[in-house]
Amino acid sequence: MSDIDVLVVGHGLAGSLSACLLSRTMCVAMTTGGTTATALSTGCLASGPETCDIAWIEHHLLPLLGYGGIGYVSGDHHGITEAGSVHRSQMAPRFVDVPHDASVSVLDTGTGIWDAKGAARGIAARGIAVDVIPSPIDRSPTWSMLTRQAEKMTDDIRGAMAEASGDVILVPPLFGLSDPERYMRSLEGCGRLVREAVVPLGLPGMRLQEALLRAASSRCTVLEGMRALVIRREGDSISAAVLQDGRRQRTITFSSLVLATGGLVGGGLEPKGMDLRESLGLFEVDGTGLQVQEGHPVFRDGAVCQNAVVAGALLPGMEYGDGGGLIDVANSVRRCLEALS
Amino acid sequence: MIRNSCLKCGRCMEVCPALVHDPGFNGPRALAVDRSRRPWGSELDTWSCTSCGACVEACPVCQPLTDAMRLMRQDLQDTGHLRMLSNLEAHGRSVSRGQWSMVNMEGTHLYFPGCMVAERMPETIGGLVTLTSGFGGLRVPDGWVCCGSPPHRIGKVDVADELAQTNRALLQGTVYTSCPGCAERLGEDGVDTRHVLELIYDHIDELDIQDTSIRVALHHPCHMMRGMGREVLDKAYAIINAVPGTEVVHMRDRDRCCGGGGGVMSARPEVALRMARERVDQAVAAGAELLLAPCPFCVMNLRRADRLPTMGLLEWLTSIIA
Repeated sequence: MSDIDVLVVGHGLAGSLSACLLSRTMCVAMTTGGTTATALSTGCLASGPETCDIAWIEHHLLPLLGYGGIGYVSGDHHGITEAGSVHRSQMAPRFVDVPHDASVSVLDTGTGIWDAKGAARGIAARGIAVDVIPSPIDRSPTWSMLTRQAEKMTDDIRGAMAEASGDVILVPPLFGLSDPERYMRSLEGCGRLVREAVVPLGLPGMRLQEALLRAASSRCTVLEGMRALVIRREGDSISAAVLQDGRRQRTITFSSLVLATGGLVGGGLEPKGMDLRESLGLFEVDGTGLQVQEGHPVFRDGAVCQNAVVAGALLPGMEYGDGGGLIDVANSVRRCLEALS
Repeated sequence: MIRNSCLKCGRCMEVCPALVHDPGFNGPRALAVDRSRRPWGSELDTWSCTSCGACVEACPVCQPLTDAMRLMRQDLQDTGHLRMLSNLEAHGRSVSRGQWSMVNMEGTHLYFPGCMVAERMPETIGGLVTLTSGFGGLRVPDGWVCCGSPPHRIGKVDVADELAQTNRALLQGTVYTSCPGCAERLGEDGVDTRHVLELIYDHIDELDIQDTSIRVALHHPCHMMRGMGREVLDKAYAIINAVPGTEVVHMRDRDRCCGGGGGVMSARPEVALRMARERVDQAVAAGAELLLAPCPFCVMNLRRADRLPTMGLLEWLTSIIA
């Protein structure tokens, strides 16, 4: 006898939607450890409500999923990117360690946002528009792809710095570099202080995440602050998960599992050197990501795990255009639940 | 490692409770970015970190940020901590000698009082002895010293290790404590530690609890929910809900740190006080008539705000259980 019918690991868009839908007929628990890639998203929902409130999740998104389709949701100008939503146009002056009397140049993709914010703080900052948002890269990015992308981005920044003046130059955040120190030193070769800007979280993403969590919480058991450490295998199925609760561990048994831990950035596929590693250590991973057959993950010995399904960015080939992440992930949830049923 | 895999997402800055109360504090993200980038003017200020663990919990790539902060502190010294270190050297307690005296405790359950409870709140121990007498009672090992949590959190790992060595021989089997900081540290040293609330929870039906008519808010100690596990917090709520007539109200930021940990009360008392005031204000706004905390460090700091009656959860229980 299992503790629950379904355990959902991951509480981002894929996990929360899966939990909401499955809870209609089954006893579901969902883990909520860490920050999701959904919360990091800066995408805006053009056809949804501006505040991503719970009513929209309840009355618009869920019914559409239930009827097998979802309306088009386009992004504004950022969205969930392959590089993990780290390229933002708005930098946060509050968190930047810059003295007020310094003259600052900001390499920014926005249009004068920094100038206004800097002025509000009394910083004499000058924004310089520079295209440092990378062009789309292959589906299912690997760690090495991200590194190459970040290196190209750093080259773009170095080029743009030629026209920057002042004591301090703020550059966008750099993620995925194999040796960030080396790149920062090379940028500092210009003889001025170079700072990486700290970015604020995307409010649209946070609002969406909050609404999703509230929707899921009203329907299923939320295992707050817990991360799944290990999944126990029995034959071609899995039966239990060991969850970390503070310094204690809790074992929970289930009939089925939804794996929605996200991709490279969300922690579902962890980088190990230049390779990818599936965080629960049970399933097969190759250069393109987690191996899946008709929605079910494949064990390392080639057997297909019959009572687990994969949703969201952990699926290989999941493509996120600007603002397109939501519709893609939501549809993957629908397919995943069909596979489970 | 932290520098290479940080996403620069800023989530740790968003959840850090100290950042808004200390403009000079660089925040956890500075460990990945600013530290190695020749900080402007001065060294990184690490002393406002309460080691609450909110940043670790929020980090999308699970960076051990509080561990890194502790390592940063290893080579630094703050004058506010000298008194604590000298107390440890003089008599094995992180606080000065107070009112601790060994009460008659010959029960079956091993109990580790911890410095703050023993020296500042000894009446709680007396109450616990009475409260647990029906199900085995408590006994305190002779010769116990500080668990090592306060020196460990300010980076004095060698001092903490020495204290752990003394305690290890005394603490065999399951050990109950009333301080989540002690529980977390002793647990890291391999001691099977439980909060004494868990013992009470197991026997709650055997207790004769007085009817109360009061609205209470429960502060969530960081080292309880993130260190010991939320299971213990659930039990704390279950105990409060078992008290007839008690209404529980919830504060806006349920898991916000009060500022009492990480040596901040010693090194940056004004920051700790501002954090405590924020927390107490939230309890007042929620309509609480009494603020409870199952941690002696939290109680000490929250009381400094002096805006709402504040009690240790155990202290309150011993006052309403016949």
